[in-house]
Amino acid sequence: MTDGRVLENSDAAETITRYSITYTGVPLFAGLNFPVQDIGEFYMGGGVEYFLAGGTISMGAQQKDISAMALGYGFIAGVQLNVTSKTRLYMEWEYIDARTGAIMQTTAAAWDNLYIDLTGHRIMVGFMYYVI
Amino acid sequence: MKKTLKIYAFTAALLAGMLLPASTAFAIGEFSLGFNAGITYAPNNIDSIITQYNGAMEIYKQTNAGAKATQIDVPYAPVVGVNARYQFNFFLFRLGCHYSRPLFSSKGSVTTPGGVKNSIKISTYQNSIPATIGIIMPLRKRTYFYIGGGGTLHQAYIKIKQDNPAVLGLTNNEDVYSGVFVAYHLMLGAEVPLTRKYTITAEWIHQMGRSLPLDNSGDTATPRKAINVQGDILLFGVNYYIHI
Amino acid sequence: MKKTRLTLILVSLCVLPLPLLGATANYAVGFYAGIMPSPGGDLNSYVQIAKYNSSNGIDGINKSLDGFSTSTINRPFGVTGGVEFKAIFFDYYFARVAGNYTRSVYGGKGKTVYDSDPGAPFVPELLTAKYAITAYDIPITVGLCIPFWKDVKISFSCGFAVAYGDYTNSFKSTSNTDKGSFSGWCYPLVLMLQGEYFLTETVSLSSSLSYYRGSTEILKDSKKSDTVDFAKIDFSGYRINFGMAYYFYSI
Repeated sequence: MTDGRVLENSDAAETITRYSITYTGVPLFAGLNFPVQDIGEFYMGGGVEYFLAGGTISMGAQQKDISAMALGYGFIAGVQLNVTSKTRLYMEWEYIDARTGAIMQTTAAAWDNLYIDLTGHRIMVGFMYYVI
Repeated sequence: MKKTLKIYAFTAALLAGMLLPASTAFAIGEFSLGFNAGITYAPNNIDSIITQYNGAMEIYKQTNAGAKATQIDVPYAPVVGVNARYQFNFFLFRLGCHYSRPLFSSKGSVTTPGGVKNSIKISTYQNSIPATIGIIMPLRKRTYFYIGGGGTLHQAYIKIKQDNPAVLGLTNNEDVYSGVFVAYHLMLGAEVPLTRKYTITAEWIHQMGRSLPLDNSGDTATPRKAINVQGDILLFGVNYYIHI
Repeated sequence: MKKTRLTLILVSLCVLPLPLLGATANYAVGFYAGIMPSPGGDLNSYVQIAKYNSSNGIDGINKSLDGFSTSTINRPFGVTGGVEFKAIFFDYYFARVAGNYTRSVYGGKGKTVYDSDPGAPFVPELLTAKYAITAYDIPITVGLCIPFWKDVKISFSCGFAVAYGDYTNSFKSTSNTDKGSFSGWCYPLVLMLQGEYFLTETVSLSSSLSYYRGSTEILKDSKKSDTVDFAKIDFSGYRINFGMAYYFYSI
């Protein structure tokens, strides 16, 4: 979820004043797992992520809802530590490179020009419960 | 308000969960102080500024027969710093202070067919104070692999100096941008013992973030420009463990 | 000048490890293959700014307009692979030299619209755009390696690569055709994280994450039949590889 106010457009032709974008990503990675005795494991992999994005773009008094999808590519690297026999603490670094096509007109030109850049690094921390 | 409460509740639950394993694993943590040195490329993303000037110079040369251009090289930059670390259980808390500056200014020039030369010099530096929380994978005493993230306080500075900016259709002889702002980073690292009290580390830091648009403190207040600190650094270090 | 610099670097690299040959050391050779998202970055060039209404290359070239059948031009997706030679000294110190080949294999083409008459009136026209990039590089890195018992090794290293690239683009519409071809080389920064899992005492499965940052200077288009274009070749980006390595001595 990202929400922002545009203080200064780097391109004078742009008219965006505020944006609010939410996205859902479905990542799929394949890689290698490096088990470290009974401590946990370290893993690295590459893969794809499918994004569904939506939100609102404001241009002064005018507001427009947007929706878009994109397929991205990237990597993951992380560690998992055994906490109990079925529970693990994990932290991972994920990078995905993804952009949507042109979805909305934000300049004086008649065409749709705005794309959403979903590229970025994410760090995630959490617990994993192993069912099997 | 509700959103803020939810964020606090989630953070508290996560912290409680993270500290839970403390009761079952190792004893009290360890504190160390270290010195780091490493390398990065184009601090403060000055490569994008350099590309703009190089492009403008090449196009000027192309469109003005007899003009000459020497492109500006993008610099590598050493990074030096110190850090304090506290390792507790599976967790690492690290506070660093890093300074990066290219050894040499980046220089280039464009000369008109009539012999008027515009020399361009770009200099930059970056101070950063990253505060990291991470988890460690302990192998033996003081032998770890770790991953983490956190906030960084940056002080960034860029100066662009020109002799005859009019050659490229510009007006300022000097453009200076400087700002202090908060950004983020991710970190992967490893530590191995050197002696009983000293260890060596290797750390990969990915920095993200940019300043708000900054006033130009050169000849005129414009053009305003934001400084982007996104980039990667590899740091090697020596750490000394202090008994507490 | 650049050739002299390159020769000096390569000779130094061959000579540098020599004093260590007598030390406790292990050596390995390996091969690997993987992916690189968006090789070449935004693939920007002067022609795209001046004629095709995009100030940020392939990212900004995408436009859509009612009445025109456009398709998104995505940044290319690249595959990469190579061979490596690495040395581990005193269990913890690591040096690696490799040879890599990277090329775009998917994406980088599609249809968009542009204003074929930059002054008034607005004359939109369908434009077919294509981008492709190929890169060769020799990364040389040194760093730390942590053995996790006899099963796993994790290493961090940094250095630079001697990189050479070829970038081509083409833009075709009813009233304009432009083709660009650029070749050049530079020394990008290389950071690398590698994990190895040992199947036997001498054979390992590996995965590596490497980050390159650097680009050539601004290059002039070598195709002379149309508008002269300028671009740089950007080697920056992340690569993830999987492979195998063979160690000369038991670990």
